[in-house]
This record gives sequence, structure tokens and C-alpha cells, in this order.
Amino acid sequence: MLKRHAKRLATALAIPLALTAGGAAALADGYDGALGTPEQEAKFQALYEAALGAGQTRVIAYGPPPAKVVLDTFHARFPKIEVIYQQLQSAERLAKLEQEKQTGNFVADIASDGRTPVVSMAVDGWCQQREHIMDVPEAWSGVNGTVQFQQVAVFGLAVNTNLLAIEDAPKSWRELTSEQWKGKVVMVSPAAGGAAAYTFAQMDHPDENDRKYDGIKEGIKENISLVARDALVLQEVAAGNYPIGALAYYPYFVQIKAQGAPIEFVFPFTEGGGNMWTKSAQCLIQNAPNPIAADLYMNWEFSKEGQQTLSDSGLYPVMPGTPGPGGLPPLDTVDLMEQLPDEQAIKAYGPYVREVIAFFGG
Amino acid sequence: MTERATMPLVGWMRPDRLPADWRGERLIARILLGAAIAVLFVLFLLPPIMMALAAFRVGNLAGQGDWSIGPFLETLGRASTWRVALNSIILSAASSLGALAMGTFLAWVSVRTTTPLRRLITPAMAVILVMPSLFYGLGWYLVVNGNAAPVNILLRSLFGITGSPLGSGWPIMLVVVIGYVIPVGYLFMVGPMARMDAALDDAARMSGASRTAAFFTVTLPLLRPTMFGVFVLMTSYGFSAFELPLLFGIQADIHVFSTAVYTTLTGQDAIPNYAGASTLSLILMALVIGLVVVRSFVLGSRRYSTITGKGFRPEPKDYGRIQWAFLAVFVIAVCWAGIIPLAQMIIGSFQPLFGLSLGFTTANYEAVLSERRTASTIMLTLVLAASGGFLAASVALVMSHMATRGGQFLRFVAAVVSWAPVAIPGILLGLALITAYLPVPGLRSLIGTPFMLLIGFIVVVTPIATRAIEGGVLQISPELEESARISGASKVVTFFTVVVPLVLPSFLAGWFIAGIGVAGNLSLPVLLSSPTMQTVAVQAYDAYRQGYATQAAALFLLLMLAVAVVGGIAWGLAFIITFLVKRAQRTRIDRVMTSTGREKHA
Repeated sequence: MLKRHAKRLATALAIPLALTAGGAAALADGYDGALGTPEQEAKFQALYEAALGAGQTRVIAYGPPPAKVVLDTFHARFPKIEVIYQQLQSAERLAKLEQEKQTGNFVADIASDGRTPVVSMAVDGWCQQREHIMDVPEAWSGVNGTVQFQQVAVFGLAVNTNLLAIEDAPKSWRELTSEQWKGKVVMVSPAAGGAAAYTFAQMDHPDENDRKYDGIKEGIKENISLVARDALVLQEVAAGNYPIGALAYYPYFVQIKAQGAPIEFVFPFTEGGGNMWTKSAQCLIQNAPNPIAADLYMNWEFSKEGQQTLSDSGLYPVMPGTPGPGGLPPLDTVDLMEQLPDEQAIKAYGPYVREVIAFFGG
Repeated sequence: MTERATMPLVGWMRPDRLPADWRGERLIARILLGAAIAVLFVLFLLPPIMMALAAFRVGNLAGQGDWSIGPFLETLGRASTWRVALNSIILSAASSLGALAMGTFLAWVSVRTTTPLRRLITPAMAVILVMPSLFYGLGWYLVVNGNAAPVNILLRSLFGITGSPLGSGWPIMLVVVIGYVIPVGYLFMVGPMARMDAALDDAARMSGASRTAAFFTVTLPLLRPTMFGVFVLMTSYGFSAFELPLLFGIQADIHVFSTAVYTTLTGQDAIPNYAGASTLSLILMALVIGLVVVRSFVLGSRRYSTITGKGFRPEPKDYGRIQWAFLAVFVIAVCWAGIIPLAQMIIGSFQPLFGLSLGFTTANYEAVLSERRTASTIMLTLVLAASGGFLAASVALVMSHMATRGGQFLRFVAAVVSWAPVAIPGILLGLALITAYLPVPGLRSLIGTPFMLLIGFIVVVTPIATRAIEGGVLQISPELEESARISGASKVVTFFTVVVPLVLPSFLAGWFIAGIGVAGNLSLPVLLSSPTMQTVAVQAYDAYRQGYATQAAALFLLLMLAVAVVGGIAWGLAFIITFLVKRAQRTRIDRVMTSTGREKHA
């Protein structure tokens, strides 16, 4: 107990001292505007020095890791801090955090995942409030400032250009259900849960969506070949076994395209909407052992450099003025799938997801 | 009150001394045994019990929170629960039978015939076993799926059939799953088969039985304990199979139990549905209990000793030209279970994209080797696999011996300990162990350390090691140990000089299979150790899930190479040590002979 108090006291003293000293240093050296304005860069520098001063050289994040380029760029910018992700599903993450809470042996600094599990954690009191260095719009922060949404991922059609001209690709969900595409489209099975199950659950709820996408789920089941994993969808399309892959995850597409596969990405659907998107979320865990270093990493993701790196890895940056990845249109011009507000979504989609899984045989 | 005080103490007298069984060394032995049994129960029995209780509790951690019967009723009320359970029973029973039949036949070919190349069967099966199910599955997936798949090219050119007609469904799923477990069946059976006395077969032949009849009426019945044990184990694990049914079942709308556990746990709500997933695990629990009871009923109290005294001869026999057919079966099995998927994995590790003809590159190996944690991850995996496998095999040997030579109570303890962890679905193993060990003071402080990981591995793979070893122990006739005891050897000396050498082939097989089980486990390292201390399996699986299947393949091939190098060194050392020990024994016997004036040992 005493040890923890001493640690907090040291942190409390270290931050203002480092802010003063580091701020001056940053103004002298600077990051050449790579992260933000000189004032913002000074804060980054101060936070970095405070983290080092408190002996925080490692950040542990529980959740699916970002592309390697994201971690490498952060490490290049702040070389003395290493970010390590442990890929845990929501059940595993919660079990591990609960175990850490009960034993008092805290390891995790950040919870990182889709919006629903992280918002749910924040509502249950697992996360702590933070201040942003950058001017983050309110829409990208939630649950009283305990959750941040630093990026958005989109799903679209992957098209093998050796088999199909890009302009001939389907333009809507409705078109995908037509006889013309029967047996020509591959998709990850919603029976195993994940984003595919959530897509169809969102088509069923709320009621406006249910009316708008009526019959899509049934038509898709009839028309489309299902595979077990997201990665297999792109593999099947790149290998030329199917001309089209539905609900292809854009960051995977970027990786495979970079290897020379003859594929293109169709996003958004230009007719009928229903373009699938997910907000990625993070929160700083209560009692995180490296809170300053974790705060630095989470802030860096909103910096100019962080947002650009996320964009390079195929994710949509959320800060105003940052262009979409790979020349995709800005999100506010896309007819996105309508989703329930964050805190409402925690419980509202569960029954519909169960229905979808059962509908696809799971 | 007065009445009671004046009542005569009929039939009870204060003993002058404690009975002999409760004094001195025997008392200490009993206390130690009691403590050992208590530890074994906490380690092995508590996880499935907690998992069963978790079906009725709703909270942040399985087995904690408010009591509720809702998720239990809801899960059992779903038609899909029973449909996936039935699919899994069919898949696991059929694949266990197939793999056991093939494995037993190959074991017989390996040790009881003089078939050419028979000495290569064991190393080949051992190498194949190291291959992870994920890449085994992906390898086969590319063989039967897509326009460029060899099977589809053949079907197109021979019969004009297009598409991937064999790409998914029951036939390919069974073929692939059976192929994956053939090495397990073989390695379980080869030890006991090697310790069978050829004289038993000869006796049957002398009585007029044909070779085939002798095999089915003498050899196989004597292997029943091992075969039943392995069948129950394989069926239970087959019930939890995840990756292979997912790859080959989903397209054909075949869903299995483990997918249901996974989606129930993670796929539906923001809060994990532990209670629903635990309810599903009760179905596996019932299946395991049922199979174990049937096994005890079928085996009864019959004796299965095949290793007796002086006349023991496990020599192989020449079966003539049919041995070429045996060789062909071996080659087919090796291609089926190993070469086809392994070749795809090796090719994939040199491709920019797994299974796509976009040229070859060494970039995957460069990426893996440039990761500064790769060497330490491979080293940690090898150390954990070797030590965890050895300790599990040792626990299994001691328990199997206790069960065979001890009374009914010890038999019960051994049975419970060696079967309890099997009743937990693979996906829930890590959660079950955390739930069970978190409230236990000594174990609680170990969570997150390598010791906890090692303990977890021992618990999880002991059932595997036990199945490999218990058959071998049952085959040793008690007369051999009695002879040693009569000659003055203590129990401990008898155990190490009589039991251990005779059961060594089974022990080594158990150690190896358990070690592979440790190296391939995904659930425990994630939950029981720290994020910086991961095994190759976890790192490779993470890479695969992020879309880097080729790098994952390269990492696994490096592990296989490391296992082959370490295995080669170990085999060389064992060979040298055996040679030196035998020479020392010969020298000692010769010295005794010379000193007593008899002829020298030939």
C-alpha cells in the first residue's frame, strides 16, 4: 500500500517537473511539427520525460495489436518506451484483469478492442479519465472521457481484377443477393461471431435498419460461400477462386495488395447504404502500472504522426483534416451503416447477434 | 446426565498404543500420501468443478458473481446446442476410431514385423506430431480448395468436374481430422505393442489360428486397456476440436461444439457469457464421465500382463511379400498426415502470401529472425515442453503404478486425477484454471509466473501422458516386482530397477506426446503467464490472426527445426549413455564371474 502511495506521489511530482523542464527542452529541440503544434509537442516531450523519470519504459495493452508499422513508428519517436500487445478476446481480457485486480499484481495498462467491449468496461468502472494533448473532437471520446476512439475500420468488397472489372462490381447489398452473383462471392461466416455477425445484427436493429435491409440476410445466405476466417476471404479472392470477397477488412486488404495480389477494394456501396464500419476503442486501465507511458502512447495515436501511421496501415484516422486511407473518401461523405449510440449498443445488439449466429447455423 | 456418566463403556477401551499402520514410518507415509492426494485434487479436480459451478453464476470472472439458472436453461434450450453436440460426437468418435485403427496397425508393423523402413515409422510420426493443427489444416485446405488445388486440377482433367467438390463437408473433414490424429494413435500404441510377448501369438498359431486370427483374438484384446484409454481421450479432445472443423465444416454448414463454446463466450454480448459456455462444457463433462464408466465396465478386473519372466520375447517376424503392402500403407499414412500439409507449410513460409503463386521470398524468415524475442520464445517453448512433458509423464507413471498395485481408493484417485482435466473444453481450459486457482492462497501468488504456467501445463497434459503410460504399466506382471522384493529390494529400488526400465518405451512416448501438447497449447500461456513470456504457438497464432500466416509458418518451422536438433542431440546422448551403461554392466558381470571362477560373459 505504502509502495503504491509512494509511486503515485513520485508520479504526481514528476509530471509537473517534467512538464516544465521537458517543455523547455521540446521548444528547443522540437519534433519539427511532426506531432502537432509546438505547445502540443512540448506536452508530448514532457510526458515522455515524465514516463522515463517514473521508470515507465514498457506499456502493456490487452487486445488485438495494430499493424507493425504503428508500433515501429511510435518506438522510433519515443525510443525508450516499448508497447507490447497481448492478443486477448474479451472474455480472456476480462478474466485477466479480474485476476490482476484480485491478486493486486497489476500488469495491463491499456484495454484495446472494438467499441462495445471497451465502452462496456468503462461503464463498469475499469477505466480512468484522461486529458488529450490534441484537440480531439467530442465524438471520438466517450463515457466521461475514459474511452477514446482513435481510428475507424471499414469493410468493403475485395475484387479480383483478373476476373472482374472494378466498374462491374456490385454496388449494393441488395445487388449481392441477386442471381447474377450466386456462387461468385465469398464471405467470412457470421456463425463464428465477429464483425460479420454484428453487421447483420445491425441490419436487424434498430427498426429503421430492419425495414431498409429486409431480406438481405436471407439472400446473402442463399448466394454467398462462407469461409472460416477473415484472412481466408482475401486469400480466396487473391487466388482467383472467387471474383468477389464481401465484408473484406480493409487493413488486411492493404497488406495483401502490398504483396502484389491482383485485387482492388470497393468502398463504399454507392446504392442503399449499409457500409460497415467499426470504431476502435481504448481505455487506460485503473491501477495501470505504467499510466504515464500508456497516456503518452494513447495521445500519440491522435497526433499528426500517429493518425498518418494509422492511415498508412489501412485504418481511417478520426482527427479533422486527416485524409482517409489509400484514397478512400472521407467518412462523412459515406452512407454508413446506422449504429446505436455507444452505451446503448452494449446490451441492445446481443439478442440480434445470437439470432444471426443461429441463422447461419452456429 | 447422571445416567450417561454411570453408563459402562461397553466395547470401547482406550488403546495402549496406536495400531501398527498409524505409527512411525507408516504414519509419515500416510500423511505424505494424504497431502499429495489433497494437492492433486486441488490441482486437477478443482478446475472442472469450478467450471461446472460457473454454469450457474453470472459475473466478471467464470465461477464468480450472482447465482442464476437463466443462462443454463437458455443454452440447453437452444436446438443448435444439441445439433452441434451431435455433430461433434460423430466427428470425434469416427476420427478416434479411424486414427486408432490406423495407429495400431502401424505400431504393429513397426514392432512386430520386418517390413522395410519400419524403423523410420516412429521418427516420422514424431516429426509429424509437432506440426500445429492450424498449418496442417491450412495445408490440406489448399490441396482441396480453389482452382489451383491439386485435387481439383485432377478432377477437372479426369472427369471435367469444376469447383471444389471435395473442399468441405463430412468426408474431407473426417479424412483431415483422422490424418491429424494418426501419429497420436501410433505413438500411444507403439510402446505397449513393443512390450507384447511373441510367445502369446505363437501359442495361438500352434493351436491352429491363422496370423490374422491371432492378431485379432490375442494381440488386440491384450491391448484393450491402452486402446480404450486412448479412444476415450481422443474422443474427448476431438469433441473440443476447433480449427479443423472450422476450416472444412463451415462451407458445408457443419458446425461443431467448440465453435458454439467460442461464440457463446465471446461473440454475442459485451460481457462474456461464461455461464452459457460453462453450460456447454457440462455436455463434454457428461460425455467423458460416460466414456470412463463404460471403459471401466468393459475392462473390468481382467489382467492384461504380457511382460512376464524369462520367456519374454518381443521379436518381430517376417510376414513375407505382404510386408510391401504394409510399407505402402506406411507411405500413404506419412503423406496423408505429414508430407502433404508439411510441404504446403514449407512452401507457404517462402511465399509473400500463404498459398498464392506470387513468387518466393525469404522475407518471412528475415522478419521472424529480426524480432528480438524470437530466440527467447523458441527457447522458452522448448524448456516448457521438455520440463512440463517430463513432469507430467512422471506424475502419470507414479499414478498409473499406484492405481495398478494399490487398492480401490488409490485406483479411484488416479482415475479422477487423470480424467478430470479432459472434461474441460480446450477453449475454456485457461479460464477454468484461473477460476479454480485464484482463491487458493499458495497458487494465487504464482499466477503470472513461469511456475504457474508449468503447473498449468502439467495439469493439462497429464491425462495425455497417463494414457500413454498406463497400458505399459498394466502389462507388467506383478510377479516381476514380487521377485525383486523377495530378493531384498525395497519398493523404491524395485520401482526404479524393474518397473521403470520395462515401461520406458511407453514413458518416452508419453513424455514426447505431452511435450508436444505443451508446445501447442494456446489457452494457458495467454492467461497464466505475463505478456512478455509467450510460447511459439501463441506468437504464431497471433501472427496468423493478424493476417501474417506466412510469418507464422516460418516461426513454426524454426521451432520444428529446433525440436529436431534438440531431439537429435538427446537421441545421441541416450545412445552413448546406454552403450556406456551396458558396457559397465558387462564389465561388472565379467568381474563377478572371474572372481567366482566361472566362464566370462559372452
